Amino acid sequence: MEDLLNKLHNCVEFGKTDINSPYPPDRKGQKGALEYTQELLEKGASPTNIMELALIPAMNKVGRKFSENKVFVPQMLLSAKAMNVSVHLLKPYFRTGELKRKGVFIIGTVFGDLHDIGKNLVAMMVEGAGWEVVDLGVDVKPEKFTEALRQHPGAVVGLSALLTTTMVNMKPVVDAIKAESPATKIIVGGAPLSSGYAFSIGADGYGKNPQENVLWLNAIGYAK
Amino acid sequence: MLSDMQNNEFQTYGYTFKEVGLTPGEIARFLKVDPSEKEHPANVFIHEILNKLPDNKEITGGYRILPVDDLNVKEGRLACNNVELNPGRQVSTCLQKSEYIALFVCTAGDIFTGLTRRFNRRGDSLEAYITDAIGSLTVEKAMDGIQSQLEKAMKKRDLQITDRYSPGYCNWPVSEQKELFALLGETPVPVSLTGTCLMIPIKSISGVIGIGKEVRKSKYACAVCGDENCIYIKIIKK
Repeated sequence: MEDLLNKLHNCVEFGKTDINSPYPPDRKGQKGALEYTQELLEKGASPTNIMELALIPAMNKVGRKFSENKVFVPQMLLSAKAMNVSVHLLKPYFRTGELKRKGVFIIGTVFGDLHDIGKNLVAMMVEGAGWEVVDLGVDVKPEKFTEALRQHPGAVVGLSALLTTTMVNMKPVVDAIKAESPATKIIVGGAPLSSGYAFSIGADGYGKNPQENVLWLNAIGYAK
Repeated sequence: MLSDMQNNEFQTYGYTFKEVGLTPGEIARFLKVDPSEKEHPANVFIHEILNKLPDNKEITGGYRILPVDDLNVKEGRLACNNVELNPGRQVSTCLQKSEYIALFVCTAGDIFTGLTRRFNRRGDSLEAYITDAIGSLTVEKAMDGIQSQLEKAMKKRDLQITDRYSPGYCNWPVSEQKELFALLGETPVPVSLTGTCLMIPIKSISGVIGIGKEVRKSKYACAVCGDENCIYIKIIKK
């Protein structure tokens, strides 16, 4: 079983989705994340082990390599695609409760801003780290965040902004969330931000890159 | 002052995607993918989408030339036509000795944003990311063409041009887009500003280029800045 888990880990790390995917070229015709996940489930591997021993560590490794400039966005997206086909096979176990997420992460680009690349990358990596992600999209007003929080009590919130003119819109969102739910943890990120700015507007965390978001989430997740 | 530059008319240029001439290699290098890896899904998709992009002149841009009334490098401000821009000391230094300023705007249109959204909705994140990058590179390369036309036109008048500078870069606040668009006035280029100074269509750029007998391009501005999030750094490093 360990060998299969390692192979699945490897497929996700290098973005080998299934037997038909021609990439990476040296693995052409070989099994991918889809086939190894099927095989693991058929052989009785627990969905929790598949998540915790293969998928999450693989995506963590990709995130780490990304933050060290050893891989770039396209490779990260290929890894996420491979992970997604695997997670798709695990969905029934989430429904039955046999497999549990670490928590719910609500993410959105704040109102006035339409940029979504950074937000999407964070959402993808957080999902790969075992969290359920509720993506509210772009140009999200404070009330949409609070409404999502009402639907997902106990969720953690992530706010994104790319411009100096829109990062100021993070504060009203943080204020609205904290007014309604003071215990809700909020992490912010985006090119013009700094940790100093993040804390000055009342956020609890600052994610310089997707991996920092994941590490912060894991830290507060385990602390719960 | 040259009389034919005083009519302040907006010079418009239109390009098809093919005319912009963005190559698969340029896109791959921007994405930090080895273009020689033919089977890399990014390279496969780049070739696929380049063949599908429409061949109409949706990519438009241009410039309006205005005389500089005042340029204060120390205070980082520039005045034209009774409007004051505050591009900051860094940009003002690069614009030093400008007698005229070319205000420019250029857009790659809505197509890239529309396609990116469609790919994202389908969960095709790689395709969405690449399409977005192609949009950014397209508008920059189209503007390279317009800048080159401006340079040729100015050369005939024995004038030089500087590099181009945009609000949001080199410490020029994005909020200055309002003043920049006020100076640009009505143009045939279909770009509008949101309340937060975001240009719509998203794949648009705007800014200024200095013109004068003694201005020069500052080759080292990007090297000094080193902002890894900046598209110009990414283009230089590609």
